[in-house]
Amino acid sequence: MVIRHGVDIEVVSEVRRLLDLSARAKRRVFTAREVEDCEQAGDAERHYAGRFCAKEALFKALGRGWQGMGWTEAEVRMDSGGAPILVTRGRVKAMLDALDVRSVGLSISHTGDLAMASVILLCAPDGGRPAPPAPKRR
Amino acid sequence: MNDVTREVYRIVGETLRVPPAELRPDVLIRAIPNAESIKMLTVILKVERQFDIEIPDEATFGLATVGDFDELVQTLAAGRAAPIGR
Repeated sequence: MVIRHGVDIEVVSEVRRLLDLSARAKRRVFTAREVEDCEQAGDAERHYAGRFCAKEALFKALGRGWQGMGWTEAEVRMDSGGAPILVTRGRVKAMLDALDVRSVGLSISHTGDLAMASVILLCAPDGGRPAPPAPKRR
Repeated sequence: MNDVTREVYRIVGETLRVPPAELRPDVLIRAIPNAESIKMLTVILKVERQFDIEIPDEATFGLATVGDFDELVQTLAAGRAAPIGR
């Protein structure tokens, strides 16, 4: 197996300021399900920040930065035991498929005004090749 | 420098804390110390609000320089008649 890892840490209040910028901000970064889950949870800001970190950590594990990535194509959900999982679609899923990712591990943590996430991708032995190029600019 | 470019540079400079004199079209975005993803998303959301445009995620792929970003905004704003300075 090939292991790919990504990690991200954010200041919760900075994520809140981002989401306060416009009515479109939340749906630009989070899916409708994520918004609903965060709003229903206590302390929504921390949940948004944790999910932001998870997406960014996934992009890093894929060997990508923020550019060209579909933020809503990676969705954080909770499994039946309350552990966070990543559900992907679209181009992000295509990148995981191209790397022959067999398992995605996600951990999210918070302390004070900080949130962080770690993503580990377990890929097939030949899955270490570079991720496919994202779509060209319009 | 037209009004759109002036506003783009103002938003980039204020958000990423780059002195105006240091912002040029050939400045690499990745070379700006504060240009991490959350700050760049902030830039994008501010620009979208300013010009009443939507910048597709995929359109940001391949943006290398501040000039590239300005060019993208110019293109998207060209179809809009949004006033600036709101």
